[in-house]
Amino acid sequence: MEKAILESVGGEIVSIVTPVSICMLLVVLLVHTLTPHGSVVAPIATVAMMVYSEKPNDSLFEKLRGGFLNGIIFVCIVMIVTFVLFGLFYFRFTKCLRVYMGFSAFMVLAWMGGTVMVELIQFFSIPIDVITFGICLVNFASVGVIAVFFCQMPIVLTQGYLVVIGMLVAFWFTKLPEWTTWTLLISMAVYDIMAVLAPVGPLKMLLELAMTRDEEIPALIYEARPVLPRQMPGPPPTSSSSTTVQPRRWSHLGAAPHSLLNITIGRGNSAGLNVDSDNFQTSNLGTVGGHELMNFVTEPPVAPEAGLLGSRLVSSTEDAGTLNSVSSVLAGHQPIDPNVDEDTVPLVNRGTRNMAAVDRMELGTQMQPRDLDEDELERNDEGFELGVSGALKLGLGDFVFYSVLVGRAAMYDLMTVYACYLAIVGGLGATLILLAVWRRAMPALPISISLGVVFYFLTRLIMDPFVVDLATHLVFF
Amino acid sequence: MTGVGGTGYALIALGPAFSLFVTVIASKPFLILTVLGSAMMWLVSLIACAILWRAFLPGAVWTFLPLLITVVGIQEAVRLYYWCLYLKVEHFLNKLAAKVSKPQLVATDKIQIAIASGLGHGIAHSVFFCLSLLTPAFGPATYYIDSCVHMPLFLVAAFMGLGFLLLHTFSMVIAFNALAGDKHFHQLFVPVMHLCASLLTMVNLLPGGCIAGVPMTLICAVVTMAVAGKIVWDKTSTGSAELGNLQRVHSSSSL
Repeated sequence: MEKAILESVGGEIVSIVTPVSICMLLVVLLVHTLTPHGSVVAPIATVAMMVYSEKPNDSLFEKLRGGFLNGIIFVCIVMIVTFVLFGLFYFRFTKCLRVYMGFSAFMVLAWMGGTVMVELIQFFSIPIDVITFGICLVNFASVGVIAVFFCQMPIVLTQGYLVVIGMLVAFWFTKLPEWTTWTLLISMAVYDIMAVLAPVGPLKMLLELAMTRDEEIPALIYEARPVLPRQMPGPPPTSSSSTTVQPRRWSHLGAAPHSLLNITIGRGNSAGLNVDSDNFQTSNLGTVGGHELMNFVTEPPVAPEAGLLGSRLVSSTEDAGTLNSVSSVLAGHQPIDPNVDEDTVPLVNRGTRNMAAVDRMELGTQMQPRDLDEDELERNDEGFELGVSGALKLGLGDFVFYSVLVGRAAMYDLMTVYACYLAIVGGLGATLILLAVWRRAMPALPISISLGVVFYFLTRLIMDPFVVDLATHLVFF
Repeated sequence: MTGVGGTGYALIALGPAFSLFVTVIASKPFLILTVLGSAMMWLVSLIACAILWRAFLPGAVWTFLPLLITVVGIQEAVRLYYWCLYLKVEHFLNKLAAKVSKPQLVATDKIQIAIASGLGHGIAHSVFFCLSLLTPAFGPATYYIDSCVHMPLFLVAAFMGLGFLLLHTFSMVIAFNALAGDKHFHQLFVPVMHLCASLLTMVNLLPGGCIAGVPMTLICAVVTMAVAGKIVWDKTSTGSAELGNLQRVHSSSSL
């Protein structure tokens, strides 16, 4: 029986929106439980508050100016650290990166997670002793580090740990004072645009380097699984068979002539599914494997933050999922059918060319639009590089900042939480549509954060009194 | 009234929405996105109304009358705009279906999209008007307002929220059907019923009015549900000439 179009459209978007929503929900619950209204939260001494430490008595102008300075300093530090990590990646210090990543993740899970757990234990008066707690915490953190970086575990576990890491970091950020938080969010959104889209942006350079070398990006990235399961044509490539079967990590759509001339033999698409493209130890391509955590220095030596390298959105449009279909309809050409290239062995260096050729043979598409499309793409020097795994990827930094916004909204009232949640999800949807249209890595922060901030202030100042007034008089519409 | 009471109120307001969501919407990702999209549109219209009327509140009681009329007008205008957007989305989906060799949208699909849109409106309404009031309900006490000493504020708000949720959901189904088939009676029915339900809530302003206000809202919701049910029944009965339906029936019976 033919399935209706309604069953499959939008699957990838929902698979990204769901973990973002879960992370936001967890942060809101934590904030709501552990930060009773009206209590004074002692601000933690972090680098985000190096310049200005907000006190309640300062005037509005002081707070704005101080928050603005804090934001600028924070963005500068993030930029410097990103460049340092890009340098490490460029000079192939992979072991260094991996060790650093693992250590940072362990610190987040053990130290920040431990602090949050202790606060929860105090709040709920759970009877547990130190030794049990210590053992459980160390085990929890170790399994988390292994699941995210080193071993291939059930995907739910990896995704769950990534969400928990994002949640812990976001909760930590919500302890910052209010104006600093807002200016920080806005500064990070602006920085994200620049870092991903500008030619000298560190994230853009990192992405291009990773695609050129066909390696994993060294960052904490949440990868949603593809919605339509496909069968693997053969056993997953192991290190023993690495000489002949080289699944490509990234496919070039209309690469510029000066780009790499790899012979790609193998199944381009199938690399991603059961063999996770973040499959570190069996990676044939010398995957960096390590994930980067931005790290800023506080009193204790390392207080890692989630990968701000990850603040961009990369997607694959190679399967007949929504985004591929959307982009194909918008561009007016045939979507690439994944079932076709499972068996193809493209022996030339241009991914699209092969698929276009196969398309012509197998699907009998029109020649003309395809030709024009390729010409257009070829003329473009940048080359739209896309992940092969067939899954949407969202950097963990985006999770963190969305949750920070919603967590800060939760400190005012639940109505602002709902408004900000809808704004963020709307912005994320708009970003995904732009991704489908432009087919290049997109910064996921700016639209959502700006919508979220606008909606927060509108709700708090204008809508809240309006609705509460109506509702307490029991007049509805 | 502690966690049990708070959860109870939340379930009264959102229980049917939750079950509708789980049965109809959760299995289809596109419908989930529709719910979120229409909730966001309702929120934008609410913010527009709030900007318009913020300066006048809190004011005299009689200000509620022009407020309700203008606000319902704005929301019906937003519904028409939403319908125009829906036409574009439907066209896009049909084009997409043609490209990936799947069947075009049939009547049941369109009804499901209408339900999802209405549910988005309804859930947004319930959440903003009812759930956001409920935070104190999880605490140890309860709260009565002066004009309604018979029922706690939270209970009244939960019932009204439920009524309006059903009203919004099913009036969207009626509106989609009416605008597609250009049926004037139903096209007028939706805004008129919305306005009636809103104006009837003003009964709550009178002392002891909530005893009448709550049942009247629920009656409006039931009437809307009945009209929508009749429309859906007519559309999906075998008398309808929708080819898609027959195709579906054939292919499902051939399995």
